[in-house]
Amino acid sequence: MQDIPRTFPGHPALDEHGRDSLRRILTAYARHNPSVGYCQAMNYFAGLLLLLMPEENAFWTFVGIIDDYFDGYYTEEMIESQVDQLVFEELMHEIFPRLVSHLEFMGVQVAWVSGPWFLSIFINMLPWESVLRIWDVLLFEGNRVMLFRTAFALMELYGPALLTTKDAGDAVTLLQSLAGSTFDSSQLVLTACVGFLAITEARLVELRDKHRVSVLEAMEERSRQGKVWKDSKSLATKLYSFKHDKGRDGRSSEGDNSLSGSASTFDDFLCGLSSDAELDCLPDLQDQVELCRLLEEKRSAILRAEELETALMEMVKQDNRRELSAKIEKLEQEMYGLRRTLAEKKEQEAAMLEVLMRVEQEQKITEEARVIAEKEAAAQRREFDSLREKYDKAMGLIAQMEKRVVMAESMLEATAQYQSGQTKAQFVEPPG
Amino acid sequence: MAPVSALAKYKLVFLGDQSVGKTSIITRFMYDKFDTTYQATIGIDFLSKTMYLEDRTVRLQLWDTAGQERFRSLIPSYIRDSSVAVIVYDVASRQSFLNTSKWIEEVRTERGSDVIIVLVGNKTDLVDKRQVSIEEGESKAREMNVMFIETSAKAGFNIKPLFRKIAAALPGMETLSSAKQEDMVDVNLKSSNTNASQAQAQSGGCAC
Repeated sequence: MQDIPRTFPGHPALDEHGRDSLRRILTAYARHNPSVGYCQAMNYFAGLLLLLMPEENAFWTFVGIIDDYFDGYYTEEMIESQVDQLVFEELMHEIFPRLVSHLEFMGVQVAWVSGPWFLSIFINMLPWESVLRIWDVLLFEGNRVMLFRTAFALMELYGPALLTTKDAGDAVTLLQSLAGSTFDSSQLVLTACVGFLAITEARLVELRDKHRVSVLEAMEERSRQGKVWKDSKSLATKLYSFKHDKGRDGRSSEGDNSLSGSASTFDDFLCGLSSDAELDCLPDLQDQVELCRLLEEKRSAILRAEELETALMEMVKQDNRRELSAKIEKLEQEMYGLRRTLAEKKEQEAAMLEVLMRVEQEQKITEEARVIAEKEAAAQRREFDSLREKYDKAMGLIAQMEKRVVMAESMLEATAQYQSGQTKAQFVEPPG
Repeated sequence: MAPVSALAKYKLVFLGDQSVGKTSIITRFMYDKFDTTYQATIGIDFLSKTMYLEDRTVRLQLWDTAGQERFRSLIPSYIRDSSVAVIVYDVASRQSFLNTSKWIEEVRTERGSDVIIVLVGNKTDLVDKRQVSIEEGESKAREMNVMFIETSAKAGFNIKPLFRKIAAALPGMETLSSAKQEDMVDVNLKSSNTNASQAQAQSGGCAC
């Protein structure tokens, strides 16, 4: 359903979890009552109820509202919605004749505004507080009277302003925006309940019966011109008209007339019957019973077919589920594989890191060694230098010594020469 | 007072399946903004906007309708006095495209040929999900003798051109809304026949 995320978007209670609840309620209801299925606006009702109560309670409240208070409203043909609009229009003529004639002069149909009001039960049309106050009364009374009373109250409140408009568009826009800012919910409810006490369920029922005929006739006309989209629907209309007319003998002839358009085998029989009915207005009771039986049978057959269709759809969905679960399994396997590779990668990374650390440590050690070696080298150089100095000094000393040796030698030589000289002299002297 | 009442007013009704983007197109046109989620339209919604064109000013009344099929039993009365029907489909939904035939048929039954129909393929931003090509849209429009344009309300693509195109086609039409109070309507209207609007439709893209 595309409307799930389109229900009060952004509301904190309708997060993913809340939306699942909403989906379940609407799906369950569509199964519960296939003749209504899903109709836009129902998403808002279910959403509202979910804000107020747990899922299951919300579902049963929802069922009560749609099946009981709004029976025939949200069905494929929306017959009762159309009927209510006609009733509302008639009452508008009666209660606000001046306003209606002004609106008609501008070409505004009251239903353009009141239609959405009724269909949405004022959700999104009025401020929340006002909506809740109206729902409160509506649920308490257990019928649609409050819809009418509220709509009349709005007309009473904003009618004077509407009378000043001069254009259809302006009128509708004004009424929409005024309704949207009806913040004084007490005034609204008071005006509705006290001001329009004369609008009672009995009165509405009477007016609805009167207008329903024309709605069904119009629908019949449309289907006869081939403008109804699905053929099966016209049958539903007829069944509906039958169901609603069977309690009232006086109207049975009209009901039968609308039945005559059907195309199935027993419809020939019905045709005959309805022409009979035209003759003496009250068809034979037995015929009517037979007719009733046949129609009930047809209806149950249709319902069964719908149920079968639902079941089939369910099976298809389950099939899909199997396929999906297989897919999920495959994906999970893939994920497992990926996870394993990831773990391996991580391990490798860790090993790498370790190696790197070791290398780094070694590097540090080497660095230290280098520093020490450098220091040693420096010390050695210093030692070398001092040694060299010593060597130089020693060399100097040696040179000096050598000089001295030379000197000593020369002195020795001199001494030796002197001595030899003296010896020679001695040799000479004695004889002399 | 006089200049206001002299405004030519035209009623545009937006039709098409659920979630094709009718409300989004209108909101983009009216307020130049976009939200990913709009509340579903119940029954009908109404907005109006004044458009200032080169040679004149027109007031457009935009009727946004609910897409769900069962609301159709309520819709004919909205179509009845509209001068333009904008029929929207989602280029990422073939079904919504197929259903436009029914919508067009519905409008023709209600209004005959006395109405401008524009076929709009919305959500062109969904490039990967596209199911209906622009050629298919064009050929259907030609076949049905209606105008055609593709838009993306999300990206703001072709929205203004859509309305300009509609406005350009308007002069040939009778001014619809309750002629009784339409005391002063600019009468120098060039009659643009269907072929002309067709040619405009074919030219496609942005004309502004």
